[in-house]
Amino acid sequence: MRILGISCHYHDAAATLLSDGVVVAAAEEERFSRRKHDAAFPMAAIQWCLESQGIGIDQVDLVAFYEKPFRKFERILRQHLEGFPRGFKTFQMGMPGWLSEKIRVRSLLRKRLGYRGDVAYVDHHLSHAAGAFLPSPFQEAAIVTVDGVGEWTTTAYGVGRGSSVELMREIRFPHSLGLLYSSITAYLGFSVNNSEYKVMGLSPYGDMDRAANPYYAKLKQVIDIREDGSYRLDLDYFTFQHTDRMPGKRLLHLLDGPVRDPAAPLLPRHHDIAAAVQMITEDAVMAILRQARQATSCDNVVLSGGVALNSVINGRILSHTGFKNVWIQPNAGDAGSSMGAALFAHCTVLGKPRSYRLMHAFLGPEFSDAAIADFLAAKGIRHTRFPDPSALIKEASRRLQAGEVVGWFQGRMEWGPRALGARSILADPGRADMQATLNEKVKHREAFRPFAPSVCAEDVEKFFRCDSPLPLATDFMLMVYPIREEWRARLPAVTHVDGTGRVQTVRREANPLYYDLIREFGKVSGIPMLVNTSFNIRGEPIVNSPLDAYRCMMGTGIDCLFIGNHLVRREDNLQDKWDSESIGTD
Amino acid sequence: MIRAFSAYAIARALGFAAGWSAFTCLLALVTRPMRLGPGFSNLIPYAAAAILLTGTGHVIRAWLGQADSPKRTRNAGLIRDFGAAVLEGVRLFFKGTAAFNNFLFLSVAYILGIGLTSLFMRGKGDGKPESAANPPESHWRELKTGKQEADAFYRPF
Repeated sequence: MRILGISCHYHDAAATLLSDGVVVAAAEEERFSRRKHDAAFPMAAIQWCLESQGIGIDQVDLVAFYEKPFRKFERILRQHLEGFPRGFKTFQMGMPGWLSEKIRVRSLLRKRLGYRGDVAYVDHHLSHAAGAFLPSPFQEAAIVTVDGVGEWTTTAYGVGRGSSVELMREIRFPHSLGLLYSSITAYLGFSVNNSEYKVMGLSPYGDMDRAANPYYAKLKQVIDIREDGSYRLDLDYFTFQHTDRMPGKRLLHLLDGPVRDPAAPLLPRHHDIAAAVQMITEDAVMAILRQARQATSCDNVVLSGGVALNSVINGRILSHTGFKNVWIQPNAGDAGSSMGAALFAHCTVLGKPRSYRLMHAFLGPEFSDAAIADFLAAKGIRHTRFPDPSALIKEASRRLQAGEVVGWFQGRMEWGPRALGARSILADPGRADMQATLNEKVKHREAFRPFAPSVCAEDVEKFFRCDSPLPLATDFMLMVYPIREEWRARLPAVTHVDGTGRVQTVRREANPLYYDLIREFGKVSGIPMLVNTSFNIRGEPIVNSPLDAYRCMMGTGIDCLFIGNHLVRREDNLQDKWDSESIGTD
Repeated sequence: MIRAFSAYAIARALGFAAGWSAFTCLLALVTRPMRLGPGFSNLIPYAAAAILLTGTGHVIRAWLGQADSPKRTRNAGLIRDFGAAVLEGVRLFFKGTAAFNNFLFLSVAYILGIGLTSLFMRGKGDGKPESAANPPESHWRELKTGKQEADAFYRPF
């Protein structure tokens, strides 16, 4: 029994293939199309899923779509009715796409894929909930989903038991924590549905004291958060419900100025606003979680939706809500809903037993050593081949110790927005200049954004004041914890301004090569930890193929690339050098 | 590089001109039964209408944030690249006319469909915000998804 899960048409299109209830392939469309957050029908991702299993679309028994398109369309029409005539432009922008493709999922599947079988439509937040609970290690857990908006729901909680997933209560559009956060993201001059994590990274630069930060009190005026976790936005401050702009005029007035020009410098006022929205979101999420715990009496909680990628909030869940364990799937946003829809279809629509547990995020494309060797030969790329992985690890470790920035392209690509040691850029966290080097030469990004550390799971408590027992979500770089005071000065490249780090724990059973590299680096440097940042050029998605990786290295300041059993050095291939900064945006 | 870019631009312009010519003839043909314009004896008014239409369409596309950025050459061989650029030019012309038509139809749909229904709704008092004087105790709404039958999931609504 094979089920294909699909999410698309809003942002982050993706496909997931299930075989007898087990996820065998999952990937986002952006990795193939090379368009960040690509929302288009995930044709290339689907094709790869099928090819990876050596099957055709006729061998797929069921397609599961991640939302109910007609219900979403109803919500959009309702928005236009309520916003008339202010929504004229958004109506012109959105309707052709809706009428030609978005509500005609079945005909789209027939036209693009030649698929003529059944299609199951799973509600957006039910897909999120299923994507959070069904691959989790728990037999019973409270489920909380918080994102921008699905069909109508923006926030929901419920419970998962065995193979069943049930949502009990919801908050409906236009009242949305995700859209509040996105509105402030837009206000701060960052791109919506893309740069919310920058606001999170910026927040510790502001005043994180609720009583002292003036914008905390101001932003509290726009949202009414109740003790039971329910909330409501004051819509007079927003325009997203009927136009394509996010902050309304009253919000600009409340925040003492116009929307920041992306090219303008960030002022202390902007830092405080970022801090305020982060604290308010945290207040609301913690209240929702406490309510979910009270209503379900579960000790475990799973989270999903875009807000579940807020790793600062995630790191505080266990200490603030009474839950004893937390799990978040590595692709908690809309892309992960393709997995949720497929698993939900397997367990609920078809009534099959739950048989899958997501132990690692390496579910994407893989390139064999022979394929990589062929690529290098075909392109005439000078390289060195290692006879075995241990020699490769030793050489990589030596180069990292020497201060080089290393591209790491190994095994199957990660599922989700974080690079977890398969498509990563690695560096020494102990070098004071490494953060600036990575920001300026490689990533071309804002100086305030921190880099994340990878540590072996057994070592994490040595460096971090983290929850005990350690939640599995740390494997997916989804939790921020304080770095122990004695280590902060020794780990300048990964210590954020507030002394925290977005840690990724590495387990040998999940990624042995990367685990061994960290261990080897620990032997030579004394600190078994690496800076791990996503392998991409600014404005592009994480690399997928050897060509993407090589192009990225030659367009940035990455010194060398370990790709399969091969080492490619930048200085040996300067004929292919180019400047990625010339194309990079946001 | 500059030479390749120029050839590409010329090919695109040729394609655009081909689209323009075809649409001009089409306009002359379809307006014939209505006796609009001088007919095939003088195509200039039709050509002017065609360019005005596509131009307006492109202005609308720009306003809606749908304007295309120029594509790069693909290096698939001279003839293939040239052919692709000509086709792109043709597409560019018809994207303008399509945008104009869409705008027209959607404006009518918006004003008559959305507008009238909206006014009717407001007249009936639908969609009024909740009274601030009596806020509800909780903003949660009940959502019992566990009760759905399997058949419900095969429906897109």
